[in-house]
Amino acid sequence: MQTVSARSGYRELPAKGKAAGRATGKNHVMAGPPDMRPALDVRCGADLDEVRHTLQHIHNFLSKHALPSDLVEDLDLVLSEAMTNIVLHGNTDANGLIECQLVLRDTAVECRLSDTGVAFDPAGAGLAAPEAKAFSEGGYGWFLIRSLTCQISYARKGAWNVLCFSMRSCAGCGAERCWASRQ
Amino acid sequence: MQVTLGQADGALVITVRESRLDAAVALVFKELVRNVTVEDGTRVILDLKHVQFLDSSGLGAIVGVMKLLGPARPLEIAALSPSVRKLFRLTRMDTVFRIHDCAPHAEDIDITQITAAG
Repeated sequence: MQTVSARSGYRELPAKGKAAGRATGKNHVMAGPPDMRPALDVRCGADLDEVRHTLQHIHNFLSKHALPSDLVEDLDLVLSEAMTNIVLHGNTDANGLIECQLVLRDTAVECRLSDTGVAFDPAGAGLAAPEAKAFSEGGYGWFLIRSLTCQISYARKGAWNVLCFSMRSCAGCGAERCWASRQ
Repeated sequence: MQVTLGQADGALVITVRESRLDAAVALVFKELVRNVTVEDGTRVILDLKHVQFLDSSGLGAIVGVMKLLGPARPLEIAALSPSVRKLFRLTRMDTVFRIHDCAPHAEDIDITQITAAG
């Protein structure tokens, strides 16, 4: 792992990597992806500048693997929304952590996002967008996440929130993003 | 972060010289525009041609700027990248903002810069 700071790190797993049972840190052990797909493990502190730096790293990784550009852009947005929420609302202390694991498929990405913030079950969050005419300055984040992802699941595991979802390029997916792209 | 101010067709053009308008710079952006003096009756066009990424924090800052300016200084948006346009469409903010394909050619009058946070 290339260590960026005490709390940040990246691990890029090649398409034919040995993925099973790798440890990403002393607090958290992840099972590897079930096959040989390209994968990325990223860890950063719960801090807006660190999140920005990490998203740039993820963007570079995705671009390198020639995913459809709409998928790269949408994943950038979804991760930005989710990680920003963790930083702003997770009540993490100076040691707060965010981890992101991505597994790439041809036109899809599977994501597992974990954080040490307060427990937050998003079951009822973002079911509708704020009314446009209300000119709300917030409240869009979870609506966007829900609009652009498939198969969202949440679990509290020990001190960690664990959010899993997948995203596909528009063809053949019934999510809102496909609807939106046809408008 | 940096914004450029320009004048075109009686409008003030504010060009955001930042590729990402996100939570890390949203407050700085709002503060920057808050300090710009705009006379009543002047349209304000926000030129986003350099912005490749906008999230809901950036969008919230734009809405906040619109409120700061008030109805006497209407805020319009110009030059959205495909992903930024998509965010406006998903949140339906494209139905409440006047959006131009590109900003009018503006004569630069000032460069305002804050580097403290991104």
